[in-house]
Formats: sequence, structure tokens, C-alpha cells
Amino acid sequence: MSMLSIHRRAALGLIGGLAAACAGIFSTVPAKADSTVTLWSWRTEDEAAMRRIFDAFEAKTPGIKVNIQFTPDADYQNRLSTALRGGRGPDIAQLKAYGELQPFVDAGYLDALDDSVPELKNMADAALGGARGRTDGKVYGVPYSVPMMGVFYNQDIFAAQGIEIPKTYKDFVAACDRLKAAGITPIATGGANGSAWELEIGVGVVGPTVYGPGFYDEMMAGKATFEDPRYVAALKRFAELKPYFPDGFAGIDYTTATQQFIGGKAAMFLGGSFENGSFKAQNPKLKFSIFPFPTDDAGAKLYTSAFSDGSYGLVSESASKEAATKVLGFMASAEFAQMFADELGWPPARTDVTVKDPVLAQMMEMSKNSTPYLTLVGFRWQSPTASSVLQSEIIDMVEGNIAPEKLAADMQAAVATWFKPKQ
Amino acid sequence: MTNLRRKSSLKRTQQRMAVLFILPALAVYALFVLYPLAMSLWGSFFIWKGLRMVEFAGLSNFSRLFVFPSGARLYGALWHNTAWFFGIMVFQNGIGLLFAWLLFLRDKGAAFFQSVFFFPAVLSPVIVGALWRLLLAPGGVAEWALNGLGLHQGSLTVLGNSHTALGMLIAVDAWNWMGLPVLIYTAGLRQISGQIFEAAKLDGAGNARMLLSIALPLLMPAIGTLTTLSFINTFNQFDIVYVMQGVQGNPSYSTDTLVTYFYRLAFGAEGAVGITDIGLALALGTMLFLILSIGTLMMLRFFDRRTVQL
Repeated sequence: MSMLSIHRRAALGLIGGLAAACAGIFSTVPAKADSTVTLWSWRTEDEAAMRRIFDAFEAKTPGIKVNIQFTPDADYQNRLSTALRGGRGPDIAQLKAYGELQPFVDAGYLDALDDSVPELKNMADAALGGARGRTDGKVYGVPYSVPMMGVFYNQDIFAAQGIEIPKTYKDFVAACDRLKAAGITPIATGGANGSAWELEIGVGVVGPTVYGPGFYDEMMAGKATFEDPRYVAALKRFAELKPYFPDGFAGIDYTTATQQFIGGKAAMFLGGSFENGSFKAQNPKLKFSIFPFPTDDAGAKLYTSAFSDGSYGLVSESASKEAATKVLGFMASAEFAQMFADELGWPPARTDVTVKDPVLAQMMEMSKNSTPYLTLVGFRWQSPTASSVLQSEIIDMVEGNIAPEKLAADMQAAVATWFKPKQ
Repeated sequence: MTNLRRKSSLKRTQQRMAVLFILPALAVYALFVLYPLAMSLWGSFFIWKGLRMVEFAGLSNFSRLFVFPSGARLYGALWHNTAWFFGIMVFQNGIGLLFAWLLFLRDKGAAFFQSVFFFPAVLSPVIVGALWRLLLAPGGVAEWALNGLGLHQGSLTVLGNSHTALGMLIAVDAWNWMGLPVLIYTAGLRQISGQIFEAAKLDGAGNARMLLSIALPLLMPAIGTLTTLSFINTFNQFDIVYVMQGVQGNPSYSTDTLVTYFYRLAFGAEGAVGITDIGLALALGTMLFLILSIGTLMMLRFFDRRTVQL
């Protein structure tokens, strides 16, 4: 997950970047035989799992070897663009989604995959949307995951306090009050020290239940703006939760917040599906699952924000395109999606998988009712992004120093400098 | 006559040799300093798409820098850097001078205290930032100590508060480099002839009078050096903000500096790594270069005129 590791590695980034830059000099040797496919990824934490997946592929496909190379996320984008510019890139590159993909498409570094990877037809548009070129609408990468967002909760705490999964917003607040009375932090969240992206995700969890699933299309068509009362109401609802956030909320960062949840000190965590694997890895004894944030009416369909995390694309200057296309075909297959879900616990890009992990199964159920993660899918295309304003001002909004209306107006003013609605 | 001519031709050969010897260093300097500097200046006149120069844009990057949405960021950052500079002048160099004076007056143990003051300066600002981030976090040592002393109640959120965050970072930076003014000022004070202070004492000057009327004017070269260095360092401030508040200078851009803003333009903001505006970044870089060069020249001149010779 790109956002996740950028911030977790913020401090390590500079050091890692230097190391990676040095490594880069030696690792871009052209493939020896045309059957070795070089693949670059920023998911350093997935190294072992990815190796196992491609070992299985190599065993079944004689003649093709996949050489996976990892660069820490903080440095990845710069390393990749420098390498592609110098014609020394990999055969297959992991690519960011939406606006961050476009510079590579515009520069002509990538091949469109619509015809060469037929399996793409079996993927939902939520997955493919992040890999499309903005001007030609072609697909430039094989997506691997569609993360969504929700309320992670500690099942042991809920059982001990006699709390059921809340059906309405009122139930949710009542549950928080009961937890607070019992001396348990109801919701762990925090965005200090440059980790405010976590609070943006909080708005992604709460938002769709307030502004509704059709709001994204209205925004894209120019029929609504961030100053719309529905979006302001979503921000307000997020700020309303402040009494249930950790003590000293303004000074709590993402890492501390996750530790509060993982350590059982907090009952809930507003987060993205990519937390599933890391929560499990950090505390295998933690019994947790996820539910969608409730709305005011019981029985209303509950919507969650979802987005495409990224994709794997074919580099135009690759010397072994035929083999690389075969590898991409495998990465688009149901078989890969199944292994991906089993190994990593993330929602894969394809839905035709059998999920063994109950948390992941619940997530995939939730993502049936999803709406695009507004600030990322819709407005992270040019600078200043809506996200940059939201991340900057959200702590002050929750603390009551900035009115939600002002934050919404600042977001709108920022994106209005470049955003053109679809006609 | 011939002797003279030979001498001058020898001199000429020597000069030629000197140029030859300097050439490699000059080439390295030109390649790694002048060339990138010229290129970034040149690039600031172009529209960029990703990492490629696309089209000549004249001064449009520079005019874009001062209007919405960049203007608010630029003026905010400029103000924060200026506040940072004055904060460092008062809390680092001012207090550093007092410490140096006290150490100078009381010679015993001076070397020991000098190294104590200098100790944080051997740590990288990245480490110092990470350390103070932990100390100042809610539930951290600073909160515990302040609450224990009855000076504060509840959680300490100074880094998450847009009114206090910048002040905290300046204080951490001052703590980090406090040893430098102490070191430079004590060295400067030791260079002043002891007879001057003795004469002043005989005339009935107290410690404060000696500091203000004798030590300060004679320390002008040291003060000038420190002020100029502090000016350059504070206007290039990046690491502490990056480590403690992230590259956006959160919360609400309250700790944003010119270089963190440059970084966002050139390398992308949080959660949007690939979205850059290199033309604007280079225009900002050029501006920063001008501010620093002109400011430094003016400061050097200013202090040069005030240097007292005895």
C-alpha cells in the first residue's frame, strides 16, 4: 500500500533512498537471456510473499524467470522515472494509480495492455480505473488490489463490554460512550508528525455514509463541489467523533494509534484494508474484524470508500516484451489473485477468489457497496491536491480551530485551479 | 636585465603551472556546482511535465509563485523562515553568548561545560528531531515532567497545535546547535587581550558593563560569522520539519519552510508522490538562492564595517 509505507518509512526514506540509488547502478544490468523478466516494486514488506508467488509461476512456466527487485516506497517513484528516462528501466514496473501514473503514460514509457492481456476484461472498473491513461482511456497496468476502508474493531473488547456491531450512528455513539465509561479508548486514530493521511482515511470511512454513493459522480460532473452541504456534513461528523479519539489526539501519530489498537488499549480503528496483514503480523493473538461505518437510518445500505492501489505495467523499451507480457497475463489471472489474497490478506483486484481469511471475506463483502475514495480517485491528479489541503488542516478542524466550512472551501479553492468537470 | 627577464618568465611559467594545477579542481567545481546551478536557473524558465522540460515559459513560473495557490504557501514559508532566524538569534546565539560569557568569567570547568553544551551538535538533526518527537508526544517525558511540576495539565500536544508547533521546532533547533555559539564566543573572548579587561576593571566596570562595552564590540567578527551562518541555516531549514511534522509542515502548514515547500513541488507531497511542479520548484529555488546570496553579502558588509581594530 503506497500511502502506508511512505509514512511508515518517512524517516528511513532518506537513508534507504541513498542505498537504493547505489544499488540501482548495479541492478539494471540488461537481462542475460530473453527469458529473464525484471520486475520492480516498492512493496519491500511483501518481498517473501511475492517471491513465493513467482516461484510457483516459474515452476509452471519453464523458460521464464522473474527477477523481482524492491526499492523503498519513499524513493521508488524518483528511481523509476530516472531509470525510464535513461532507458535503463525494468521490464515490468509497479505503478502508482490515477494522477501519479499519468506522467509515465504522457512520457510514452509504457505500453497499453488492453489487447495483449485479455484477462483484464475480467476485472471490475474500480480496479482498472487507477491504471487508465487520462487522455486515451487505455489500460496501462495490471491492477493487483482494490483497498477499501472501514472500522476495525477488537472482538474481545466488544464481547466483554456487551457491544454489538452498531446498526446506526446513534448506536455507534452509544457504544463509544460505553467504552469510554469503561476506561477504554473508543477509537484509535491520529495524524500528527506528518501522518495526517490516516485522518484523510478516517474521512474516507465516515464520508460515504453521509454524502452518499452518488456524490462522486456529481462531483466529477461538476454538479457538486467540496462546499456542498453534504461534504461539509461529512467533515462535521468526523470532527464530532473527537471525544472518542485518544487523549491528546492532536499529538498522536499514525504509528502510535495503530499500537493502541494492536495492543488492545483502543477498541476501534478507522483504517484501510491494508492494515489487515500488518495488524495480524504485529499481534497474532489480536481478535479483530471490520464493519462499515453506520449511517443515521437503520437498514440503509452502508457504503465504503474504495480505490485502486496501483498496477504492474509493461515498459515500452523492454527487451523481453514477449516474456514480460506472459508474466503480466499471469498477474491478471484468477490464480494470481487467489495467491495474492492468501499470501497478503489484501482484497485482490479480481473478485472470483475463495477467501479463507474471515476479515478479508468481510472486507470483500463490504466492498460490494463501494464508492470511489473521493479525494484520491477524483482529485489527486494535479497539485494542489484536495488531499494536501485536507491533510494539512484536518487536525485543526477536529480540534475546533478551523470550521469544517472553511476546510471545505480551502479544498475547493485548491482543486478549482486545475479541475475540469467531465461534460 | 636578462636576470630580470628570466625571473619574469619564470614567474609566468609558474603562473601558467598554477592555472594548470587548479584546472582539475575548477573542472570538478564547474561540473558539480556551476553546471547544476546554471541548469536549475535555466530550467526555471520552462514548463515541465514530470521530469521533462516541455516548453519555454519566460517568467511565468516566477509570476505563478506569487499568486494563488502558491502565494499563500510562499509567504507563509517566508514568514516561518524569518521567525526561525530571529528565534535562533535570540534563543541560540543570544543565550549562547551569555553561556560563553559565564564560562569565560569562571574559568574553572569551562572546557567541561563547553563540551556538554556542544554535545547535541554532534547528533544529526534527523536524530535530534526523532528524539524530541518522542519526548514531546502525548504521554512522553516532557508531559510527565511538566505535569509533575504542576506547570501543565492533561495531554501535551504542542507539536499537533498550529499555534505552538513552530516555536517548538525552533526551540529544538536551538537546543541542537547551542554548543556552536558557546564554542565560537568563548574562542573569541579568549583572543581578546586580558589587559583590556583588567584596565576596565580598574576603571570600575562591572561584568555586565564589560560584556556590553568591551566584549561585544570586540566579538563583532564572531557575531558576524554566527549571524551569517544562522541566516543560511535557518533559510535552508528542512530536516527537523521533515522528521517532526512531515513534508507538509503540519498542522495547517504552520511549520512549513521554503525548503519543505520546494521539496513538495519537486518531489511531490504526502500521498501524491508523483505529482510535481518542477518549473515552479526551480523558480522557488532560484528565489531562495537570490535571497541567500544577497542576504549573506549584505550581512558580511554590515559586520565588516562594525569590526573594531585595537
